[in-house]
Amino acid sequence: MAMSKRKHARSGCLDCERFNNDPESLESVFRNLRIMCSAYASVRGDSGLCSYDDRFRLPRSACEYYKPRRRSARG
Amino acid sequence: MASELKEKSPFLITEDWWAVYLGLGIVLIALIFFAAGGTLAPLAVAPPTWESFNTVTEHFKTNMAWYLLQLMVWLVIFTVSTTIMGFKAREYIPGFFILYVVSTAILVFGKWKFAHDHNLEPPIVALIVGLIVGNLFKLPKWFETSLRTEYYIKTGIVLLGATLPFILIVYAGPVAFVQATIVSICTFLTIFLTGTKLFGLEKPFASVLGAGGAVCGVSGSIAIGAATRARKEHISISICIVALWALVMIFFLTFYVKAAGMDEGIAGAWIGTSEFADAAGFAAASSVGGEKAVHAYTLMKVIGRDIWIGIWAFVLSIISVIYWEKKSSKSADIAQARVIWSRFPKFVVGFFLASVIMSVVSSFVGQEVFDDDLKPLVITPVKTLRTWTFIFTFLAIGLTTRFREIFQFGWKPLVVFTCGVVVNVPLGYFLSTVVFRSYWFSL
Repeated sequence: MAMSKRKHARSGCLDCERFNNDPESLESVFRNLRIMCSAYASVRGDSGLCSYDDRFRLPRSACEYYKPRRRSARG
Repeated sequence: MASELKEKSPFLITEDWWAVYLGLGIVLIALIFFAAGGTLAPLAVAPPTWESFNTVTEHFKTNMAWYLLQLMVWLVIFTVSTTIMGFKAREYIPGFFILYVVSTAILVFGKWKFAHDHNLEPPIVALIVGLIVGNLFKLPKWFETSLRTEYYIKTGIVLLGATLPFILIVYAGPVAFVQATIVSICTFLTIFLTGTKLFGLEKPFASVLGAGGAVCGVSGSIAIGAATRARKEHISISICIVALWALVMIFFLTFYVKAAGMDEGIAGAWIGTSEFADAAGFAAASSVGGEKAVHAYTLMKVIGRDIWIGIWAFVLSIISVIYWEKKSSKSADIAQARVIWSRFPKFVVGFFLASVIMSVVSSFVGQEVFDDDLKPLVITPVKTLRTWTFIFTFLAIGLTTRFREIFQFGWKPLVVFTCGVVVNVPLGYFLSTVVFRSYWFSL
């Protein structure tokens, strides 16, 4: 178990099922984002939302609650 | 197809890179036409200044075909690019058609001498019309697909690069950097310390608000939100407060600059440190005067503030992990140095390239050819097309702003952010009108 956690901790958010960095989806979550910015902008890059802790994260961020993604990431 | 491209290349999924392609593409095509003895000028048609409506009807009778061609060109380049980014062409096309028609009507109204005499410049009119329509009527989703504020303003900024001599960037860029850095750091610290020490906000929340006020508005909040792993609701609140203040500042700055009769260069520099979003600042700078204000604003906002967002994200990521969360310096949560480039607003690359290209061509052809040929046949058409992208932007800002959706925050973050505004605006005014006055006046 400990080994598994360590292995998971090395896997970044980008490959995690809980991580959402789809720009269309992010613009629906942050309803007012597109007034003066965009989820399709370089400054957002591939950052996304974690559905586990509801925090905005960089794609290389990692935690022990990592869950392998079934389908490929967008954005 | 689109999804496959997204998986493969980051150069096809961000509005920044597409703004570079479109902006530089227009500039290069204008130069190719010029080299071949032609010009883009007829395509870059726009309503004339008028007192009698007959002037308008005559203008449209003569130029209707060029308006239709211009609409087709915008439609093709924006539809192709947004489709590759993942938007639906069947939604974008009718939406943009309406956006273009309303923009044309706004430009006609804004070019009316009566409107000009009453300070109803096209940017302000576009914004007001958008706000009224967007808040009184529920807009269909297909129409909202065409309201890509950031895409239009970034394309406009790249086009603006072609009208801004590179020597001017070299001359005023360092001053803009120094002034903007002073204001940015003071504003960030004010918001961060007020938020954490006086109002007990979480440090990531205070830093997201601080970046929104100090660096580049909503973009700053997003970039710093990811770097510090801020909560979703805190980013939403920051977006709302920044957008609200940015809107307020458009009207305040425009009104104050005109009432005080400020010099355009000084006004542009002040707007550059005082506005919170690129698009909002361009609305104010375009409304207060001519090219000098827009150039000063661009130097201050884009070069002085926007391009440093990656460094802010990198530094705050390290601080948040090591000092706020007390984690190891080897934690995967720390952003790597490459975040400085990955968060860099790439449209600035196009802005610089457009300026360099046009400056090199200008120096190559000499002053006489520049004044007689290059300026009217290349630079003026590019400037007119830039005006169109700006009007699309200002209209899109108004149409996407829903006040009932914005006012969803508590009083604490609003007060904290307002403290930053109270420092930001007077400090920027002092630096623009006193300390660096001579630079901006002589721009």
